[in-house]
Amino acid sequence: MAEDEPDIRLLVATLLERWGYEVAAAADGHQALALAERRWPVVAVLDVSMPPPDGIEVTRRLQALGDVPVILLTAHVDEHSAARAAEAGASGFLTKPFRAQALRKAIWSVVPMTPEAA
Amino acid sequence: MKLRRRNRDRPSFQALVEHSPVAMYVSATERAGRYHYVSPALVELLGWTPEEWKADPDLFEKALHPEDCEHVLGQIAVAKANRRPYHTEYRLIDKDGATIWVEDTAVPDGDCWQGFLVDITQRKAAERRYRALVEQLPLITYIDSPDRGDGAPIYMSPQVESMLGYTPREWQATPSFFLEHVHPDDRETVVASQEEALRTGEPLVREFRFVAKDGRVVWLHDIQTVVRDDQGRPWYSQGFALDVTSAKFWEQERERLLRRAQMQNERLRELDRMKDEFIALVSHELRTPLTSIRGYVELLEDDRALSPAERSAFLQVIDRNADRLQRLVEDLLLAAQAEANSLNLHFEEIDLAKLVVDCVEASAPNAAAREIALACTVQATPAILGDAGRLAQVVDNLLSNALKFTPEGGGVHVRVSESESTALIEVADSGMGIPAGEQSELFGRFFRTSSAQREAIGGVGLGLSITKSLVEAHGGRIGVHSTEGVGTTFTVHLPLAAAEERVSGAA
Repeated sequence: MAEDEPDIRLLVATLLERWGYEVAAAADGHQALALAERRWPVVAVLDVSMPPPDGIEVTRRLQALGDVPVILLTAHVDEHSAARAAEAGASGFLTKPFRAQALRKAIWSVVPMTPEAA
Repeated sequence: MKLRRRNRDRPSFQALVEHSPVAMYVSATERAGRYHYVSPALVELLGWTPEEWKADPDLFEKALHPEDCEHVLGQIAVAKANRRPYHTEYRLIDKDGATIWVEDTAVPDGDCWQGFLVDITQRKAAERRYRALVEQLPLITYIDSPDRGDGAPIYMSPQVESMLGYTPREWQATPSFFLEHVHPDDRETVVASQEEALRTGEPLVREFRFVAKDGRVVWLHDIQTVVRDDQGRPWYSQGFALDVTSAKFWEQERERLLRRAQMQNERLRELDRMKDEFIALVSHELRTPLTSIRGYVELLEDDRALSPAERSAFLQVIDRNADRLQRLVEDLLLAAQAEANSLNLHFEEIDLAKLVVDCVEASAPNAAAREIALACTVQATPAILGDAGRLAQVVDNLLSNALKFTPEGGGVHVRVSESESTALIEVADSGMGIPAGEQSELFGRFFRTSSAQREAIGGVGLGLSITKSLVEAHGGRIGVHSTEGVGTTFTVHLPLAAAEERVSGAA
């Protein structure tokens, strides 16, 4: 997962770990791509506005590299954001603030067999 | 008998002359008007009999119109001296006192002039009618010289004087008169259009500025046609010009108003765009701490897995984000107050060095977390009068900006000193710097630098505008020096409290 706000990064990482995932956390787009190349993720949770490349661009590059479901998080609530996310190949899109349950459902819908459920 | 025989021998020129409707004469070269012969047509034309002509050698000079006398006699004298024919037009006053326009052509023959007069009174009257018509139109008509090709007009209607102040005579005296008085800024295009018209023979319609005799700038609307020679080649031009200065003025006025309205519209659209952007930014800035608050509350609710240390850390996150929300709300209120000029400041005597040191210490954890070297050098300054809370906010804003825009491993240095009878605060960073083109807009509301937008660095663009308002409300001034890629230094000058104020303040 990648998120430039430290508090939200820790929040998402904590949630994912609670749900049984092994989490690699990045603070910007470059770190996120480096992490993904080192160990290909089963799912990527990315913030849209973070130091470049932003979440949309990281999604695009990940899709070019291989198959991975991406959930995008954003505090921008305009009609363009969702459209751009879908266009880049994101599987899910959540606006901040979000409920933990909503993130969990979004992940389940793209990765049915979570480690916890397995 | 003699005459009769001669008539038989050769054609009768005498009869030809006698019956010709053209008035003919033979006069002495020595003395104009000394008539040897006047034809019946001439008698008919002017009313004097051949006997009267012969009896009075001064009759011609008496019949000459006084206004034409000089130039006609002059022309005849020149022709006589050169023994050349002459051709001229003038007025005569006939026996009944009527004015008659004649065209007089004479050739020297021995010691005589042989000449003929044509009555051109009707032609002259027609010419006068058309001229009067042309010269009463509210425009200048002109005909360029066909022969000289130097641009001097052979005809310039007298309206030129009322319209531009120059007489036709002044105008015609210098070939380059026209071009010399075209407004310098329009001269080049006027010359080019003239050359083009004479080259192609196409009619010309143009507008240009002309400098009148009294210095006024007059807009002329000039319509020209090119007269062609026998071979159909462009020869010379003639046309007319109208004074369109007032129409031009209103046209320019209309364009100016239109441009101003367009600029206002653009400004309004820009403000509208900035407002939308501001709302989007504020929404984003509110949502970010809210996300943490709600998220960590949820983590705490399900606390089976939480250690006491984690629980305490999570509560701190909530507290910190609640602070951030509160600060944003306060900034929004403060910006609104600054806009309405209703900042409520509570002035008291302040030890600026101490205030700045406190602010720097409060920022130390933030700097340490980002591995930025934070240094502080303070000189004690005389007390200043200010609102401690708001001045601390000024320093906090500059410090948090410096930390925000400085990469990890960089440095931020805060200094306090006395300079030019003011207290000076400097906040210098080794950050990304601000492009020169953006520095002037830096203190405007909602302004965000291009790099802040590109690097997704948070903020709504209120901090510096609030900071500037607060500094100015203290009677101070704020400035910035920045080099891209090297760093940025903000300077704040605050007035020192006057000695008596300090005494009374301390009392």
